[in-house]
Amino acid sequence: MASLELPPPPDSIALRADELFAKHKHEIYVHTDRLFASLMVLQWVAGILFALWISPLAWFGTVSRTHVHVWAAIFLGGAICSVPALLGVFRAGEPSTRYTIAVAQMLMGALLIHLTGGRIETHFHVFGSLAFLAVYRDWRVLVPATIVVAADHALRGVFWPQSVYGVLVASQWRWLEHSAWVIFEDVFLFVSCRRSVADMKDTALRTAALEHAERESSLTAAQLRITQQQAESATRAKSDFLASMSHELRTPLNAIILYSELLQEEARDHQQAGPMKDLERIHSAGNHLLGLINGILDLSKIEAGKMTLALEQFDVRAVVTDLASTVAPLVQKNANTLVVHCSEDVGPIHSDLLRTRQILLNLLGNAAKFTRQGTITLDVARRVEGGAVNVVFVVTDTGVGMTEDQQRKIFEPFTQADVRTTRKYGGSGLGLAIVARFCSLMGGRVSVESQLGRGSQFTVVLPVDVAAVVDAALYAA
Amino acid sequence: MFSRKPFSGLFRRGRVWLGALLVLWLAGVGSGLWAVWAYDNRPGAAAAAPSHWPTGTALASNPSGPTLVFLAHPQCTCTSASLDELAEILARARTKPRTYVLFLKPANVANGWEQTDLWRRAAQLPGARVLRDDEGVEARKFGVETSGQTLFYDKHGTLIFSGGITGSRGHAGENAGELALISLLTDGRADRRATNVFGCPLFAETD
Amino acid sequence: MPKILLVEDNEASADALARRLERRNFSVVIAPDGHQAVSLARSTQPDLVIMDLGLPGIDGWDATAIIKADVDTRHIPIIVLSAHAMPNDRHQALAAGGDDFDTKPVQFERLLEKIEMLLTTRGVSASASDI
Repeated sequence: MASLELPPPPDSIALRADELFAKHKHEIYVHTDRLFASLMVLQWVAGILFALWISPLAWFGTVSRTHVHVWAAIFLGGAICSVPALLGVFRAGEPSTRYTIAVAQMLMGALLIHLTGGRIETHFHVFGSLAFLAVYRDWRVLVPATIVVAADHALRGVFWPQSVYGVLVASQWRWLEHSAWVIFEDVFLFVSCRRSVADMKDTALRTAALEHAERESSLTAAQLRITQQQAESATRAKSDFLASMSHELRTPLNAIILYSELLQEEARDHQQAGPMKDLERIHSAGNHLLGLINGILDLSKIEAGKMTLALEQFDVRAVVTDLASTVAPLVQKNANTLVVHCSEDVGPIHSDLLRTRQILLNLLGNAAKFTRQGTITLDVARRVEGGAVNVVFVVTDTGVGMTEDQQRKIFEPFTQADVRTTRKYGGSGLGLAIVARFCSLMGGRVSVESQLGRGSQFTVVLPVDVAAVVDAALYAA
Repeated sequence: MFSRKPFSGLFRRGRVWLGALLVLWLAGVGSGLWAVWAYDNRPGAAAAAPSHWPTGTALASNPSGPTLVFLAHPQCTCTSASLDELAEILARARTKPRTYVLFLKPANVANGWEQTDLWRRAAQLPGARVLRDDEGVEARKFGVETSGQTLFYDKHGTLIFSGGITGSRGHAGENAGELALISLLTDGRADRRATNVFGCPLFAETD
Repeated sequence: MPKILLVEDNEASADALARRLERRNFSVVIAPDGHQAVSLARSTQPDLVIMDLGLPGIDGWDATAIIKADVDTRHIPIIVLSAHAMPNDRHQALAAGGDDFDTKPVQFERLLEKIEMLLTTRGVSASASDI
């Protein structure tokens, strides 16, 4: 009779549902037992009052004695009511208690009907009692109750047929009708009890499932908190690591670079050409290593969310001009030509000067590296795109270019176009990854277009006012 | 998922004492109820009514129809049911009999002792003559000993029916006596001439 | 010959930088920790201090602050060196009393420029001469 559309529950939920159902059932039994205990006392008193009201005295001529009914109401009524009342108080919830109550209730009814001279209204007690008994939600209590009612009729019918209905002929129909009424109520109450019990089971199941879900979600919440804490401490550990590593890595490198430069100077002083080349190699390796370390540390800082921007207002044209002279040696190294177009109205930009320089240096450096006897063009212009004011830097070269596959991977760390490129052209494979991340940190973006063998074009778009675009927490003025 | 074991609670060790108590209890209350029923179903002393209208009675029989004589103890609460039945009979009878309702007033009782609720109700019965029977003179003339006794005499003065008109003491509801009287007053026929009478004795044993 | 107090706990770095500076006609005194930095600043009265921040004992910040607080040494310019190169470091260093800031690994020519600038503004003639 259950109305669940859920799949069969796991054992733990089913067990808990059993538990909840049994508990609920027991509570109902206890509660109803107590109710009936009080009801018994009430009926006892009612019986005595009825007896006193209707038939207080029996007469023998002029002599009167207390009517048998009164004694019956007091003692027999007391006897009938006492045992169930005591059971209801001291053994509430037991099956024997409620079966006893059921029997006593109907016996009391028989007595009350008798004490009131069989008045029709008292017969309603039978139907009322059955309905009250159904409050237990246990259809089994109706069984002894109905048996008592039937036995009362049957026994009286056998021993005192007249007392039941009078003429025996008519009693056939009456017996049938009375039985029909009682059976009808029993069936109705039986169905009602069963449905109630099914509802209770359903509720228990749902409650158990809900408890389970709540426990799961609080477990999940707890797990989330732990995971969060772990992530936070991992991040903190990362920052601390970065901070100490930064110092630890740069310090010996400092010594290497300084020594190699020192030795070169001394060799020049003493006009020793021999070690110069070796020293140059040491110096170069040291710088290369420094570049790698800087790149890795930068990347780590960005990944850990610890990279902060230093925003300031600076003139774009001035920076571009300065950069052009800085990269000049790199450009000339491969016999390339650098062309710079910087529009007059580019104006100032409120951004991170250091990072912007880094981005442009990297792109121009790459262009110079991958182009031989070609042209490297830098176009800088101010552009308004839908409400946002940006500065657009375009670095174009006529170098080796890239395949579509290479273009897709180019901004990921440690993927230079491929391994052979690294060997041939040098570099760390970090530069463009850092460029991409710096761009997004400053609220901008970088993109590439390239044709293998023809050249590449890198476009960087940076907002004119980073503060307006990016979350305030990311920068320290 | 849910266990089903009806009545399992009753059959466990340690409940033997409880079981014994309950059995005793049932036996006790069963006997008690039996006793009460027995009391309520014990018929009172039947009337030794004269088969012909007695002489010397203050009541006059009805020469043109049946006469009904109903005797009652005014204090007897069981008789209330008999009165109800009497009202029922009179209502359903086709032929209305001459009806006498006599209330016993014994000696040595205060005045108005017999003017009870029963008297007032009897007085409201249509066509009934309610009379006081001092010291039970009429009751003895008719040989009646139990409250609620009803006697039916035809127009010739012949006793046709003598008995009670309730099923048991103080118990209203259809009964053989009532049906017999109704039948007599409708078809002039009945299936019985006597029934048990249930009520208080009109005379104490010392009377 | 201008005197420079170099505060650096890494022996190799200290030696390399000191020798390069000596080749440029500076006389260099090395202090391996903050404590000695303060006492040597008082006793030798250098024309300039180069202070590495990552020091054992008293760190570079505190040493800088102490030197600047001491009436005998507060006139001495201090260049603060850091391996971190974070924007906060620059501001912190200057707030602690440093006169300039530079990063490690050292770009020698850039460092030289800063040294020159600070010495000339203090009126100490520097004979920085390339060999």
